[in-house]
Amino acid sequence: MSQAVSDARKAIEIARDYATRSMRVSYWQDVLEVEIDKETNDWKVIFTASPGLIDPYYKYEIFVDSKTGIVKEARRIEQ
Amino acid sequence: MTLTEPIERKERARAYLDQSREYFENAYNAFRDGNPEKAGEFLWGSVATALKALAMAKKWIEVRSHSQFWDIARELTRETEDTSIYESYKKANSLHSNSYDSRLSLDDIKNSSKKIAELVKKLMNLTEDAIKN
Repeated sequence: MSQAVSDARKAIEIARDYATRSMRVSYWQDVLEVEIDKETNDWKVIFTASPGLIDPYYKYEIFVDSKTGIVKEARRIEQ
Repeated sequence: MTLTEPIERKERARAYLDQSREYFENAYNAFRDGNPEKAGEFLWGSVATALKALAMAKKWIEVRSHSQFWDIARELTRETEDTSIYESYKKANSLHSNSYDSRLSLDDIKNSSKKIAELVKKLMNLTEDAIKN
């Protein structure tokens, strides 16, 4: 079910849920940046998280469509 | 689980490691004194604080419940593919239970202690590596 995302808190919630379910991220650490891209109208959420207990924390970014709440792109941006 | 400030992470992990070592020494003193329940409880304490050290060093997390120790032991076993971690953890936990109902003899506890010592050593090495990085 799609739903417009009007605030940063909701964008983070969607990103966190997606990261946990689809990116095998078990440990969420911190949100570093949340902003809306004025051209694409996507929320960009940058955060640190880790896939496992003995793995380090990595930096990830997730783009959320502000009109639908659907994750358009997600990737780890730091090795 | 509770996240802590990055600046405190190494210091707190080291404090848990020191505590784990102290419990381990106390366990051997209790063996020497012929007190199996106390020895078992100290061995469990050594494992629990070593797990707390690892969680703090690796994930900046404060472990606050008994069930979290089980989760971490399972997760560590899965990630390292070292099944001896979980087996030794279960032995340590049985020593913890034994402090309530005293089923195990001194020999039983001594037999478990070798495997538990290996587990503590592994946890300490993983923690030391994380503290260095």
